[in-house]
Amino acid sequence: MAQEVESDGDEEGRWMAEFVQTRSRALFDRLYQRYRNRMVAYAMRYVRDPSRAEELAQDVFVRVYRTKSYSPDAPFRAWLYRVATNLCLNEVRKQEYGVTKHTWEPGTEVGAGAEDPEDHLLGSELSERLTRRLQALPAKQRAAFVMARFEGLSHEQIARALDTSVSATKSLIHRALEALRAEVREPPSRAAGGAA
Amino acid sequence: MTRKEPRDLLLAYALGTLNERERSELEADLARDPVLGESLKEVRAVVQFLPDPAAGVEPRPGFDTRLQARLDAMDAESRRPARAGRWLAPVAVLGLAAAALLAVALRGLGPSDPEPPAAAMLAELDLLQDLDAVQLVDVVDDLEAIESLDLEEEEG
Repeated sequence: MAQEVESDGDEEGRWMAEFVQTRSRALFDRLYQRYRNRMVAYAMRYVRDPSRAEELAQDVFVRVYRTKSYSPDAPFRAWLYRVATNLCLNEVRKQEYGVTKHTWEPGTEVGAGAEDPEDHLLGSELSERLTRRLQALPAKQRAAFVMARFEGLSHEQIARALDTSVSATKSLIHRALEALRAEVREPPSRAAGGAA
Repeated sequence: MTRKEPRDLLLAYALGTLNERERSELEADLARDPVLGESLKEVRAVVQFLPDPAAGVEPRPGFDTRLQARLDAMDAESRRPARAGRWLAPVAVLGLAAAALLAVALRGLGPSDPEPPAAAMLAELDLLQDLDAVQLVDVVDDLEAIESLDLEEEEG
């Protein structure tokens, strides 16, 4: 799957370069159709509010549509995620989205496989703590981790999206993982006691 | 080609996205480094228990239509020919006002002119009657103020 995305990168870059030259709505639509769902999902990972996520995804495509110059050597995917990440992080900075705005039930996915109710409770509680910790991470750490964990982007693509080096990207992901792993190490009895 | 740090591969390993070579190298590292093995367990727990808030999320009906409407509006806006006139008109008025002030200043230095400058300016403004922006600016008030300054100078 990742290979498929890699090989599509050049083609998408060519479409984008041609769109900037010709303003062809058909070319724009090709890119839009390919990334429409992904951009809504990506925004959702930051704002956790379907309406706001859709607005942000629309803003991403409006930015793409307004683009007057595009360097064909820049992989389109990384460039698009850069636009999206900037918009999402700006939104998060404007208004911190708390866990109370979740529109899904934390732990429902992971709890499905847990037979023991106690395990289920612990899993749900850990999911909530991990979610909170992720949201509390510094903006770039959070963005790098989200792109690595949920978007399947390589270190190189994330580096381009965040306008930083590959080594800095690895460091961002490492620090994010360290923070999340600290939640895993947290004694479950204390956490479960707090939840009960 | 330099080898990647094992710790940087743990997340990709837990996600199952490493290539064959990277995977076998990391597994060799894991076999001889128990600390790395413990780290992997924690990373796997993060992957398993951190929920994806976007799982199954798709744009709702109307999403495409709303975006197309925004793009259409942008296209229509960019095609409007009168756009430049919106800011050119006030600039023209400001230019005239500046010219009037300059004329008043010069008149004070030179010989007296039998025709009031404001009347000449109003004649020039007739040319701009069609510009909406001109009608929005209270030019006459400005001219009256200029005239009163002019009179004060003459009286002085």
